[in-house]
This record gives sequence, structure tokens and C-alpha cells, in this order.
Amino acid sequence: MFVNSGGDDTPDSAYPLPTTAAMLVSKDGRILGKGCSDYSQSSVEKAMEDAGLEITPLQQWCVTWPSSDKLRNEISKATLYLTMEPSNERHGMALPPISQLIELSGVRRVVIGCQDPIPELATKGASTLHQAGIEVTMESILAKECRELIQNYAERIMGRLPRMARKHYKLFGRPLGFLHCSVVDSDNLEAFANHGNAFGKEFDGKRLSFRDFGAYEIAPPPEVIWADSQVDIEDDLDLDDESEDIEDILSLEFEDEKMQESLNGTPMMPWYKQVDAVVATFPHPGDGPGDGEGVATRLNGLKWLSTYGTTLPPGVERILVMDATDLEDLPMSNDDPKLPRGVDVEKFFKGEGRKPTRVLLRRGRSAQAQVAAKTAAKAAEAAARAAAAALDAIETGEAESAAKAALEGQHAAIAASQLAQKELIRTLELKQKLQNMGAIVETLNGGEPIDVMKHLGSHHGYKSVVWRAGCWGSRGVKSILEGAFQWVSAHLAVDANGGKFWQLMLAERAVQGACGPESKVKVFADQEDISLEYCDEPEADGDCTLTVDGKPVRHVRLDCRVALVDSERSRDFVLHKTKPLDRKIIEEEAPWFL
Amino acid sequence: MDEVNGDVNIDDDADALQEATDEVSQETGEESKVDSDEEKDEQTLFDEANMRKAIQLVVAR
Repeated sequence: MFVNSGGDDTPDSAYPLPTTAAMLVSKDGRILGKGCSDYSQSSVEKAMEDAGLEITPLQQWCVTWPSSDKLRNEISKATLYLTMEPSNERHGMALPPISQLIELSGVRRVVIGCQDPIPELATKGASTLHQAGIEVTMESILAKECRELIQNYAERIMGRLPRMARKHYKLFGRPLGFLHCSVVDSDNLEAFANHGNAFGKEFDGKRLSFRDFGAYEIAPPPEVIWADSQVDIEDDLDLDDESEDIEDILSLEFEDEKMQESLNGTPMMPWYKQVDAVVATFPHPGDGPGDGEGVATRLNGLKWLSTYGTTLPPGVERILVMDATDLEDLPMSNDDPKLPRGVDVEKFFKGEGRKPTRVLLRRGRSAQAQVAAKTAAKAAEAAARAAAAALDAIETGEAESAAKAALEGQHAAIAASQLAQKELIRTLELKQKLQNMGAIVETLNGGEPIDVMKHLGSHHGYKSVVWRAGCWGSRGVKSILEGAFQWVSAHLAVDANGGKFWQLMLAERAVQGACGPESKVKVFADQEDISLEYCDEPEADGDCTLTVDGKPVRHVRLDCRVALVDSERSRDFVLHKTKPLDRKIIEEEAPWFL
Repeated sequence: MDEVNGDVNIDDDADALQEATDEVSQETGEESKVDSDEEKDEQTLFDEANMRKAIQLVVAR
């Protein structure tokens, strides 16, 4: 019996991908190269590099052999042993298919232990190799043992969310988006807490109906990190020494879904452990939670990624999204006075022992750029005046005034150009600094969440991404309507009276109100999607920030699907004729259901 | 010379057997079925041994 290590969330595993092995063996039985996959590299890449090949993933794999022909000759007669079928799927523009690397390596024979457990991919990789003229054997050599290696992975990828993610990616070419945030009553939290929100109840002086939920907006999750940016996380959670504390908090409860239970799912991080990446933002002043102007508040996303984010599996990427022109405000060293206490930002950008941190830069809207634009506009005005004066000068002979106006325009234009150039150089310097620290820095086309999702899908082939939201008002609704998110995990303060059924209805209506009009977007939730969090109980989650008179408010967490309404799609109504029951049968059967 | 060369001797014997079988096959016009089965078994054993090493890479990780 082999150890099932293909889906374990251990530091050196490939999780959330399966841990596989590759071994290149010469005809006379010598091991030319071997490798085990981890979060950074596939087993085939490692084995080929171990054998002496230089491999670079470009648009296609670039494979370089040593100058001697000996290795090339040996590989051409060698057999490549793989515990799992290689994928013939391209991971966005960044990573070509592994099957292509095997083809280019010149190996003539491949023995595969077991096929890919994803039904859409099963036998595709082997078939691609076979069509390329390589002798392929699969599922005939120690297949059972190889399947045991990836048993956890095979069970996980057939869960509901991974299946949805694969289908979504296939349809739209971008990842399934999970939005994690909270929903609170933006108008009157006190009345909301005191009166509850059961249907038919009086609420804030008026009879409640589902339309009233339009006043809701989605706000930050109730965690200590969002509660007060001045709170020292280490006071509450010692991240270095007492990781058990984190586990306790993160495993308070979870929905009864087998797949997620098997992952030791956490209430605060419902899907984080099984997605490709977790995104947080460094918002532009005015776009963040609260007043949004203070740098400390804007740093909440960075703070989460660099503290709680370290508990994510190393293969789950941490992504910071920000405006390029806000790089000036971003702390890049632990000495930065702007940095919240307890945050090791240098370690975050270095990304040691895990997938590198990625920084996605949106187009900037900095104050300097605005000044440059205004100056340029003034320059244009001055130039127009100069042109008019020059025209007059031709007629009146006042060449001196014409020249003066022209010079004025020229000076304004030069000033604007210098300012813009200065800002560009500064941005490039900061970008280079981040890269030198170890982060991957990329520039986005567009600046909205849907643009981020498209980028992660097309460039990296990511199939599921959690977006950890700050505040979520009209911009959030716009993003949902644009298709950036298909799931929302929200915390809502609802009345605990009335049972789970009523709470589910209330929570669903509130999220519906926050996500957009029903004519454009629909929210779906089932009983198993809701979980209760009684924050006024002694052992409840201490991170809840929804308080009235210093006391926490009861709330629920709802993980619900959101889907866009396709007005173009025709609806098929199927009419079935039903046969009336014989009266005699009804009379006879009546006691049965009574 | 030594025990290791015993393998060589076995190979030599196998080669001799192959030659003899080929001669018989040419004479009779039949394929050497016994020999191809034997070769397949050797290949399977070779593959299994190597696949086991690959599996151990994951297990010992």
C-alpha cells in the first residue's frame, strides 16, 4: 500500500495540483534524470533538467541540449516513466502543454502509470504523444499503485466547485470568480440589529419587503484585520508560534459539503485552499473601505495577504492588484513607517518557499499624472493663443507679442512633458525594485475586476480565483454584471428567530439586493449554503465587527451562486399532460399520507 | 572471471538461443513466438522496476 500523497496540503507538495513523479531511464537501465512535481514545477520539467537539458517555457517549450550529442542519442533511446498522464492542456500563454515538452525532448517511449483523473483530459495527453510517433503505454504498469498516489486529488477535482470552474473556464476562458466579503445594512445598523429582518416585520418604520434590500451594500468581512487597521494581529494571533490558534479560529464551522470538509475548509476562507490564486487590492485613495483616504486603511489587502495569506498552501498564488501610479505609496521594506505592525512585507514580496507573489498593475490615476494632464491642457491653450497671435502678427506686424505667446506655450508643454516623464521613470524604478525583491510584476489591460480575471485566464490559465473584497458598492455590482464573479461568500446580520429557512431567504434577498437587479442577475442559495454565526455567544467568532452598543450582532454566512440573466436566451416550456387519479385509488390511499 | 560476468554469460546464452531460434524460424517459416513472449516479460519487468522507483520518489518526498 502506497502513501497517498497526491493531494496533500504539505509545504513541498504540488497542491492544489497532484504530486507526480517522472523518471528518464536509458536503455541499459541507468537513470538519466528524475523529478517530483511541486508547486513551482512539473515532474517532467525537473526530470529533463536533471538529465542535463535546458528548458524554458515560452510560447512553445524551448529545449536546449548540451553541445555533446551523447545525451541526445541516449534520450532518443530512453524511456520516460510517469506516475500520471501528462496534460496536453496549455496553461494560458505562460505555460505550454507538458505533452509538448515530452515531444520536443526526443524521447521515443513513454510509460504512464495512470491516466489523468479529470474526465475531460483523460487519455488526451497520451493520445497526443502517440500521434507524435512516441510509443506510449498507459494503465498497464503498476496502475493501481499510481492511482493511489493521487487519490485525494482525484476525489477533490470531481467536487462541485472544481467541476464548475473547469466548465466556466472552457466556456469563457477566465477563472470562476469567488467574491468574499460581507453584506451589511448601510442605512441603519442599529434598527437592523434590534428589529431583525424577518419578512412581514416592521423595519425602521416601514413594512419590510424584498425591495428594501436594495439599500444593502457589501462591505469588508468581519475579521479583526478589517476591524481596525491599528490593531496588532500578533496581539490576537501569534502567527509564528501558535499556529494552532489560527486553526482553531479557522475551523469553527463549515458547511456540510463533503468535498470542502475533506479540505479542512475554513469559515473565513471558504474556498481559498483549492483555488489557483487569492486576490486582494491596494485601492486607490477613495476606492477603499471607510473613508478610504488613509494609507493604513488602503493597506488592509496587503496586510491580509502577508499575514493570513501565509497559511494558504504554497501553490495558491497571492496576487496584489493596484494602480501603477500608486506604487509610490506601497511599502516595500519593513522599515516603512506606513506599514502596519506585524506585517513582514519583504517576506511577502520575496515569496520564499511558495509561489512568487504577483503584482498586477492597473492604469494609474495618480495626482501627478493629473497635474501633468492639466499642464498639458494649459500648454495646448497657450499654443492656440500663440497661433492666433502669430496670425495677427502677420497682419499687424507685432512679431514680438507673437513670439512671446509662442514661448509661453512651449514652456508649458515642456513642463508637462517633464512631469509625465519623471513620473514614468519613478514608476519603472519602483516596478524594477519589486521585481528585484522576487515579485512578478505584470501590467493589465484595463482596470476593472473583469480585466483582472481575463488576464489571469488568458495569461496563466487559472480556473478559480478568490477575490477578497474591501468594500463593495456600485463598482462591485458593475463587476458582477460584467461577469467577474460567479460565487459570493457574504456575512449578513439577520434575525436569528424564525429558523434556518427564513434566515436563508433573508440572506439570499439581501445578497440579491447587493449584487444587482433581478432582471440582470440572479442569486441562488440552498440550505447547505448557509451557516449560522452567533457572535453574541461566548465561544463565537471574536472577529465579528458588527456591533451595536458594544455587543456583536448575530449573523450568518451565505455562500451563494450568482448568475447573469441572458435576455437573448430563449426559454423552453415543456407541457406534460397528466392523467387524473382514479377517485377510488385516492380514497384508498388517503390514510397513507395522513 | 567473476560472478557479475555470469550475467554476460546468460546474455551470451540468450543470443545463442536467439540465433538458433532464428535459424529454425527461417527453416520452418514460422515466427519465434516463444521468444517474443519472453522478451515482453522482460520488458514488463524492466518497466515495473522503474515505475516502482518513480513511485518511491513521490512516497519518499
